Amino acid sequence: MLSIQNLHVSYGPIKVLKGVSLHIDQGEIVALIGANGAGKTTLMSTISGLLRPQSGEIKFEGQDIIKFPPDKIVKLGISLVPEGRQIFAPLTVLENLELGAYLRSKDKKGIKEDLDKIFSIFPKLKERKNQQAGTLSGGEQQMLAIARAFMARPRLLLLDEPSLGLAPMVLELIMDSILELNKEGLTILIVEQNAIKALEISTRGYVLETGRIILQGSSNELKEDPDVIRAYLGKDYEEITER
Amino acid sequence: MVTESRIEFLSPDAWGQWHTELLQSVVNRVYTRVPFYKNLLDKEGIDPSQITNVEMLKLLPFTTREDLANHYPYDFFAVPLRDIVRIHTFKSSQLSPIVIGYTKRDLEIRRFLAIRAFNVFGVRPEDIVQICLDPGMSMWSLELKEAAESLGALVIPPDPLRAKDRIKVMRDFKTTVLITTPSYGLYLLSIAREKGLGPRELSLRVGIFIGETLKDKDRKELEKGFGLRAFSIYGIMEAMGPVMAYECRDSKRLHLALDHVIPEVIDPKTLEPIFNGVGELVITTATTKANPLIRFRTGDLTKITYNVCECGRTTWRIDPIKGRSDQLVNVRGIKIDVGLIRRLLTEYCEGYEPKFLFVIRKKEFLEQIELWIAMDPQIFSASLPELHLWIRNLETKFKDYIGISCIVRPVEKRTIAPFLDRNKDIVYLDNNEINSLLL
Repeated sequence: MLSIQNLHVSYGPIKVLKGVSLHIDQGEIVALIGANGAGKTTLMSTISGLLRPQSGEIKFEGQDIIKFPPDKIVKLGISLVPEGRQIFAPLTVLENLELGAYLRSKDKKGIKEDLDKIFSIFPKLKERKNQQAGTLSGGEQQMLAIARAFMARPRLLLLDEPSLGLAPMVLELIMDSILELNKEGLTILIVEQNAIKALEISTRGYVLETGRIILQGSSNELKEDPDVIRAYLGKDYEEITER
Repeated sequence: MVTESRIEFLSPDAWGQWHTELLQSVVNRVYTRVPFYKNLLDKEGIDPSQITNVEMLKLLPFTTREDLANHYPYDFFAVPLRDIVRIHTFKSSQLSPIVIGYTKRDLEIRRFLAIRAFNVFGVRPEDIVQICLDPGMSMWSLELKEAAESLGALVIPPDPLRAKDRIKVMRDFKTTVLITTPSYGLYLLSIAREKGLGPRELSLRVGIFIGETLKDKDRKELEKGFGLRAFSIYGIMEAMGPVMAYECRDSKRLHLALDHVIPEVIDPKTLEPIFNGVGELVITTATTKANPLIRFRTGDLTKITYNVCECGRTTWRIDPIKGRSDQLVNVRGIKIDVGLIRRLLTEYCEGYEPKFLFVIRKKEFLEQIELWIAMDPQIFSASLPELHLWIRNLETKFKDYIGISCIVRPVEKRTIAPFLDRNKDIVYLDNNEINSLLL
């Protein structure tokens, strides 16, 4: 569905992505894990057209989208849920969701159907649909951000750090709803510092280290990989002979 | 996912993406973790991001068995020792042995590759698998045994039994799957025939042949004589284990584990890639964690076929191995380095290197090795008991050094001169040729 080859992205003189290649097949949940500053968010922003890469190739269903503006990429079916949620705080939950469907605002019937679907996956949002989004809890705001992205009827959902700042209980809820959306046929790329959580819900994963992918595999094998466990626990490689 | 065999049916385009990703991540990994590769790439001025696709493999340096030995013990490890669960040691022609480590995951992959092939061969939990391999191939036995066991089959690993008794066990326990080398298989067949045992008396169904190239003539003989379906497998112990490639039911070419290795064929002299012809097989182990190898020169000569197999698998296939590109000789599945023999002799003769010929003789289907040493004043002793002792000690040393027994024969210089003049220090001879030379 999405294939990326040799993506190079810099912020000024600082190279953030140094030749990243990865792919996502239809129906998969793919996790991209890595430490802070590895380039995870940069990759997400580049896929959604918010950042221009120096070089490389991003193909969505065979079409090269590297020069497309963000709105065109959304129209093609790629939606980003950015880190830190960025919902419209003064607007109500419902208004936020309707804004998510802005690009297809004439499709009243479809929007209604999607809202019903969303409210069944996130009953909390239904309860609070007329409440101002800014008054929601962190977890509810995250749900809203995901739901809003879903309203654009994406085929590929990019989730940037959905676990950020959430209590463990709420996190479980969010993860369950991501699985639920995947069952609805949505393909998902999830970026997480909380590697274990991301690998629990995904089918495959990639490990990004300072702008380069150093490991990939099924989520089950990555979860047990000592490298991943160490990276997650923040240990390093200095003592290679230590046993 | 590793337990999936669907991956062998990926479209060629998907393989391209897959290999680019695998290659980049392994290069990134070795560049940041393996001192040997970091130094080499820096020296050549190669940045990992230059590897934009599989064709760029050609930028990367080769890895040889000598490199592995010369960087003993730790320079090839990509993970800390605490992640390693097994270390295999190999003889080398250098001063140090070769050491290859495996993480738990590396061993799982090797086992998975064996199981995947066993499934294609139709090996099932009900099967009784008898492994008959030389003690020199004990590591192969070990890994194949583990794979067959985890399939749930009953396994009879190689024990130091006489061939006669192995046949007895084969008959009485109704062995259904035989794992052996082609030459030992033929030897067992000759013993079975002597005892009047054929397909009717034996229960063999599948034969898995390893270590040597399975020739068409031998395949027919084994299939007819034992009443089994023969499959050959190919692997090298330094990388990916005994089943890096296997024969499917539709082709006599061997499917490579393209989901774990990136293979190439090169001209062993110019080192340039060859795309449609015979050359040395070079592999990059892309999923290996402990000791990933970049462009490892296997020394085996073969050809890669890229098109889709009749069975539907899109994994590239190699022809049965056609020979060696280096000084390693394959005897009964065991690789022997002639350089190592030379070193042994020089050591044994205290710095003097006598002229010698390494003779591989076929005896009752099995190859036996002999070392013919030209007697000259430097080493010759007129005392018969002394000479006798000199020979016996050398034989003992040979076994210890090379890991396989050998007959040492003192010969006159003129006996071996015709071979040495043609720059041949290894020859294959049959009994008649040997007799006429020694008379």
